[in-house]
Formats: sequence, structure tokens, C-alpha cells
Amino acid sequence: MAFLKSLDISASALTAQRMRMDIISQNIANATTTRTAGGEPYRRRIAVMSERPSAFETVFGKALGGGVKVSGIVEDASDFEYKYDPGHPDANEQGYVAMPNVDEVEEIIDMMSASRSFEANVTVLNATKGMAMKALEIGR
Amino acid sequence: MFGNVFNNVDVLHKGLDASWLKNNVIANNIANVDTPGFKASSVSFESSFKAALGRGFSAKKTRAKHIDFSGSDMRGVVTLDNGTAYRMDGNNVNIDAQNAELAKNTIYYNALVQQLSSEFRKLRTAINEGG
Repeated sequence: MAFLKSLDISASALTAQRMRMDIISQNIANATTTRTAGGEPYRRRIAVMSERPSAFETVFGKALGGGVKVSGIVEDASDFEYKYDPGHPDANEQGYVAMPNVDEVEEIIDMMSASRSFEANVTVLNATKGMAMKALEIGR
Repeated sequence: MFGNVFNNVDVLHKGLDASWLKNNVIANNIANVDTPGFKASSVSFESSFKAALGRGFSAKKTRAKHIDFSGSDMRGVVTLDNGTAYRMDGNNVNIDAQNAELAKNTIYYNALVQQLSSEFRKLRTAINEGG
């Protein structure tokens, strides 16, 4: 429905930002996880955002954007940090433990970015809603 | 006779459509503020609106027998801002500018709605002989 498309676009962004927030929470929660199912320490995950193409609608031959989506969750391939802790059960022969490649500061910054983007999209959502409600007053 | 009565209404209708399209595009820009490589689009219709006002509105007709209606040549034009890169990731959405555009567009839309309402009010007054 063309009339509510702006709302769909903003809603898709809210979903995507929330997903991003979930991944950031997971990263921070696992900032000290040295064991995962794969055997190695936890690897930082990143949400990859991409534009969602509009399904059918075009405006004068040009496809109009249809919002945003999280197109994939990829693992950060950067190296683990090694911490000297010989008493740790996961320490290697030299006494070093591989720690996850999660940088808390980076995650907090990402978190703020996600929350601000979320707020921006809520603003758009409210503006769209206000316009639609105003249009209902035509002829009154 | 009624063709003339609804001239202004037709124009305002087109304006509302264009303004709604602009809202759509701004929503999409803001939704993609974190998408790497995304380029913002913009809608310009005020200029074509003005041009149409100057010309007087006429329908674009491909045959002589087509029924004339006003304001049909006015439309919003979506342009992609491909040239600039605002950030390292190639995304060029300026969130402040977009928010300002959004606020402007909302006010513009509301103004058009008010004008349209007053247009209908005038017609109603005329129909009721002012009573």
C-alpha cells in the first residue's frame, strides 16, 4: 500500500537498528568468553546493513528505495588478544590465553550510533504519522 | 463548469502527492544512514510547481480527444546525489540536513492540507449560499 510505505521504510530501519543492538549486546556479553562451540574464543560479530530494494513500486521508471535490512552477520577476522594467565584452563603452553577480539569502547560507540539512528527513525515515523493524520482532516 | 471550480483542488492534490513522495524518500535516506555505500536521493517539486503556476495548468495530451485536466504536468522528480561522499564508508546521508528537510516537508504538507480544506470550505459556503 503506497500510502503507508514511508511507515514500512521507517519500520524496517527500526528493525535493523534493533538487530544491530542485539548483536552489540551479544558482543559485550561475550567480551571475556574464551570457549565457544567451535573451540576458539568468541569472535566479534558485525551486522552488515544494505538497502532493501522496493518490491514493485517505481516512481516514473525509477525504483524507489524500500528501506534497509541486515543482509548478513559476519565475524570479525582480526586477531585475538593474548593475555598472560598461566592458571587459566584455556591457557596455551606459554601461559597465554586467547581473549575475544571484542573492543568494549568500540562496541559502546556502535551502541550509541545504533540508538541515535533508532531515534532518528522514530522521528521520521512520527512525522509521517502526523502527515497522514493531518490528511484525514481535509474537508473537515 | 466544475472543471474550473476544482482547478485549485487539483493543483493542491498534486502538491500533496509530491510532498508525500518526498517524505518517502527522506524516510528511506534516514533508514539507510548506516548502510555503507548508500547515496541519498532528493525530491524537487517546488520548482516545477512554480513553473506550472506560471504557465497555467494543462494536461499533457497525446490525442486531441483526451479530456483536459489541470496540474497533470506537475510531479516530483527523484534525483540521486551520486557525486559526494560524506563519510569514509561512501555513505553520503547527512542526518542533520535530512531531519531539517523532514521538518520542512511536514510543515509544507500541513500547509497544503489547510489550503485544501479552506478550498472545500469556500465551495461549501458557495453551495449553501453563505448560510
